[in-house]
Amino acid sequence: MARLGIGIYGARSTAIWLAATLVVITIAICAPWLAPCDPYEAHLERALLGPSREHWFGTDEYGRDVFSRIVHGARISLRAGFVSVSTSCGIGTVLGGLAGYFGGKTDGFIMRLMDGIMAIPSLVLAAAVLAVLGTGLENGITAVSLVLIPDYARTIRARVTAIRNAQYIEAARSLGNSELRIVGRHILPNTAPLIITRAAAGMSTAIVDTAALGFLGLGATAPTAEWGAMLAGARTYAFLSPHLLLFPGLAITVTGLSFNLLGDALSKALIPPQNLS
Amino acid sequence: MKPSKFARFLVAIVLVTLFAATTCTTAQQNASPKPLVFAQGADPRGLDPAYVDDGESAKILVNICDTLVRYAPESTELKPSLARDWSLDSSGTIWTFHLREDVVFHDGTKFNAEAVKFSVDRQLAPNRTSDMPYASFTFGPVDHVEVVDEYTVRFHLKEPYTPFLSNLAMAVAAPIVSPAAAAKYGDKLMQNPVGTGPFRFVRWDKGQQIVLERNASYWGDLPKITKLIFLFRRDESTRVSELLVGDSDIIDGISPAMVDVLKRSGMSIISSPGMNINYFGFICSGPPFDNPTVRKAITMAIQRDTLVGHLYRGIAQLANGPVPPFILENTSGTQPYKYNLEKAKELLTEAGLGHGFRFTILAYVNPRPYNPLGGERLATAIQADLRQLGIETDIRVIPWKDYRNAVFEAEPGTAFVYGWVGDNGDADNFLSLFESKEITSSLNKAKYSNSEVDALLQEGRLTTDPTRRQQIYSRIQEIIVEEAPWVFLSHSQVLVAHRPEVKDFVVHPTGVIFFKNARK
Amino acid sequence: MLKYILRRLSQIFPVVFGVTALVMFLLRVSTPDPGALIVGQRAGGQQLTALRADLGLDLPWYRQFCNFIYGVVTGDWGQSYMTKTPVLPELLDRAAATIELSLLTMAVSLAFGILLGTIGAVTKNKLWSWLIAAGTSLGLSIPGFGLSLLLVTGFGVTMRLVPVAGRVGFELAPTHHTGLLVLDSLFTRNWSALVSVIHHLLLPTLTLSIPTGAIIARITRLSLLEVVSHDYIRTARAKGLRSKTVVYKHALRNGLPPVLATIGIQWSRLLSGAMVVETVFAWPGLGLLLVDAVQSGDFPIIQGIVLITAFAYTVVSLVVDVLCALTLPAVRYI
Repeated sequence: MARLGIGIYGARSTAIWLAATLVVITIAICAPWLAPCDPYEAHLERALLGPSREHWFGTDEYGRDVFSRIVHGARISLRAGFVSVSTSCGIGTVLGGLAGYFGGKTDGFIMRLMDGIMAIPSLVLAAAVLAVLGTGLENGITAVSLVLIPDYARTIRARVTAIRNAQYIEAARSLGNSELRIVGRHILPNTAPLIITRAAAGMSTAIVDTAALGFLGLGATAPTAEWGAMLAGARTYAFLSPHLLLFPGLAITVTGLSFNLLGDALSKALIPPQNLS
Repeated sequence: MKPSKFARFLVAIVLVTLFAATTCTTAQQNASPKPLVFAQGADPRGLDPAYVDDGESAKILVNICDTLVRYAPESTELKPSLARDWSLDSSGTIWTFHLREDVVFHDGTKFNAEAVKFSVDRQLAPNRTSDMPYASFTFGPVDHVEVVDEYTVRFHLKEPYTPFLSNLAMAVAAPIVSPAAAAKYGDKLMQNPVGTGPFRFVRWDKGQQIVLERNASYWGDLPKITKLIFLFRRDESTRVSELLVGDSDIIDGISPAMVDVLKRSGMSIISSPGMNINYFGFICSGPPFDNPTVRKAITMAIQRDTLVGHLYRGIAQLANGPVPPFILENTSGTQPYKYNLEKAKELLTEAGLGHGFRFTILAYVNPRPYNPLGGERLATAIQADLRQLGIETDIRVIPWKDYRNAVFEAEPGTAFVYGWVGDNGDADNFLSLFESKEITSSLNKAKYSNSEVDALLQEGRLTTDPTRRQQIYSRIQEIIVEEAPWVFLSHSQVLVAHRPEVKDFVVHPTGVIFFKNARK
Repeated sequence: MLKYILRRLSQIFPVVFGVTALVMFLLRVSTPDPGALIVGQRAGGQQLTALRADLGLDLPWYRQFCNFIYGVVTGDWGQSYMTKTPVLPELLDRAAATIELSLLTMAVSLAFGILLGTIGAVTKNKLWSWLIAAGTSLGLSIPGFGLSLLLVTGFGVTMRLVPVAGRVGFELAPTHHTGLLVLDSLFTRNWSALVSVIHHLLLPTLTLSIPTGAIIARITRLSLLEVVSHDYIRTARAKGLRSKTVVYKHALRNGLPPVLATIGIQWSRLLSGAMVVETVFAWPGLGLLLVDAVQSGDFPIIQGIVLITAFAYTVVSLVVDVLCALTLPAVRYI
């Protein structure tokens, strides 16, 4: 398979995409030092300027520096990604692990619940959750976390079920190892590559979904320097200042793409092909 | 399917769609006659005046239905409409209306006193239902309606209440609907309005458009346009692009930055003062804001003109009191305390708070008609000004649905941003927000209480003489501005953009547009 | 076969019940007070209390739950707080727009996805293979709202090639039969309407097809690669069959079922995307309705949309599964 996916997959590309995501993460961490201006400070006299030497990405309708806002937006988006992925991945792993390890009724119950969540289109469910919690960035992150759970639960369950029945686990059990020890020593380490891979790809989904909620006016709202909300605000000025659409759009795409491809590359590098299907 | 065939199929699809794209423009030009198209931000809640309270519904209803009395084009002065003339008896409780005799509803049934009685009776107890937003306000003062003869109708009020006449001009609740249609459609009258207005309802494609056509048997001057379409476009950019392309003729809901763009592209802009007030209020029921000196000091520390100018940039006008300028009994004479930081500090010292103090500002999240930026940004701007005075504030942001309650339950010593959208265009409607008895109903958000104001308000409701009313309401406004329970900020404006060839439609301060005389 | 369908049905009911319970739970947790929404600022406390009673919101939660379930079963899904219209007819009316858009998108995505996926799997040209792999990754990652804004600004606003909003030119709307405007205008032979409808469909369909097509291309490619690596294909090749014949006869026949089996889940993803696309193009479907309903707090509508999409998803996946099982013996044992 590796011979067919040149450049996009494989060990070398893992390094490339890992580097790309690290750049984004660095930008997010160093935002206060990288941003030349306060992302929230309005200067009405220089509103809607195109890209220039002072304002690399131009200014928005309130004269705020778009570059600074994008850089700060990386913080918001990455935090949203990390929080929702760690939440959903944590809950999903536990649920999937329980379902896979115990099987039977536990499995049936958990997986039916996951089916129920999956039956609703993710943004529809997120929107419904936001209707209950109230709109806003934090609630948006919560909604996205909830929506992502079934994905992890199903993946982990499949893997755990496969490992549980493997011969070496039988062997460990017959040697008198306790259940806890088996889980800790054999099952968890075996699912780790899968979790890492899914989490990387999940970052992409979480970041894009959070931005989508912001765009729809259900997540982060103006004046927050969140990419989706920035895009929504820029709509009005689309034909005056297309750069207002371009840069947040690019930021989301590049970040989403990097994490997505990192996930792909990791899965090629970490997981033996027979476990993929 | 073989690949080559499949490829050919794909090419065919692409060609057909391209063909469609090029021919579509020509196809659209052939349709005639061209309707007048107005684009607004959302669908109306519905078109039964008894069950709606939103601006989007009002904009459509005023063109389908008539009221007994109507507003003058640029103010809230009352003019005859379905009622030719009216009189009030000496007790001040019986209003007699003489109706026009040449009016028929769109469904062909006759408009008469019975129809008026029907439209009102369904909004009076016991017919009134709990989901009628305005029945209790608009017809609350009414005891019963009497049909004197075919074209004379009498409203018996529970007690004298002069502003009642203004209620009858409201765009919601007050319009007269066809009794036959109401019987026929029931709840579905919301989707099938039948009135006496210049346009009749044709079709409502949810989420897209409402189509009206000229009412050929209209009792007034026949409308000049034959077809009127309301498009629903939630995004400003969509509305603006369609206006520029010529897909629509008139749009509303325009942001300040867009005004210049539209002007440069040859579009015309109409701005009209809005019937609303955007304010910063104090909970006056306990210290420190029960002391007028403290309120006065804080008012003096806020640079109202810069704040309004910077925040709203031309879409709002500075307020000089609680009542918008086009309302007859307004006092364009009142002048709130001017910005004066030194004086403000003196006053604070005088009140024993010279060392500065700290309080909480409540703010709503969502944009409101009187404050399109949302409460949080307004509160932040105020916070910055107060810091100059040595006052630190904490802003607590609350979702709109919980806001009314939060302000109602706020402790004394709290301040809040809020606003009011007028209902009927009478000064009483704005000034009763300072009446003591409205504290429990939560309308008097500031919990301000002044027996002189209470007495004057009561007198205003009993007085019919316009000159005397003018004096009464001027006095109330002087007191309110002097006592400063609110910092008066702005009246947001109604902004409408249109193609230059469209003329003679009326943008009213209440936010509705009358298309009766529009030409294209 | 019947047994298979019955088993699938028995799996679906818990899902639908779960969704219903979830929706009800959401409703209960939030205990929304629709008072301010329905009657605005003017109404007093007494009217609000009366309103709660009229809406049945003062009942204990289990009575509300029973009423809700009974309503769902009997087709009475409640009334919109905002517009007083019954929820189910309103949703079915709006669903037509979403169905038209998503059916067309699905057709376009399947066509392009399978084509590109197949090329990606069989081509010996490294550049093509790389381009397709990169393209699908990009298609998957580019956010729908960014893409639709880009297209609408470019083609709609700047070049003015296509309309920027709506389903059909307002003066051209065909007579309502099915709600699917393409069919309606065909039935009524209203050609100018048909042209306008297609014109309006172009951009939304394109925007939605890119992510859906990309994921179908990716699944097709992986599925075909796996089939090609199987023994019988090697055997077929060894027997000297032409490479094209091998691919289209054997590989596609065995490689496509897994692709088609994901249509259900693809459709669900597509509906998520439709929410964004409908908002951008003022497309009067369920997505636009949902965004408005969430912003205004119109709970009956939100519940209704959650339920109707869940029903639709389960039905679509059942139909797809059954069709696969009927036509392709191999799937029966999955």
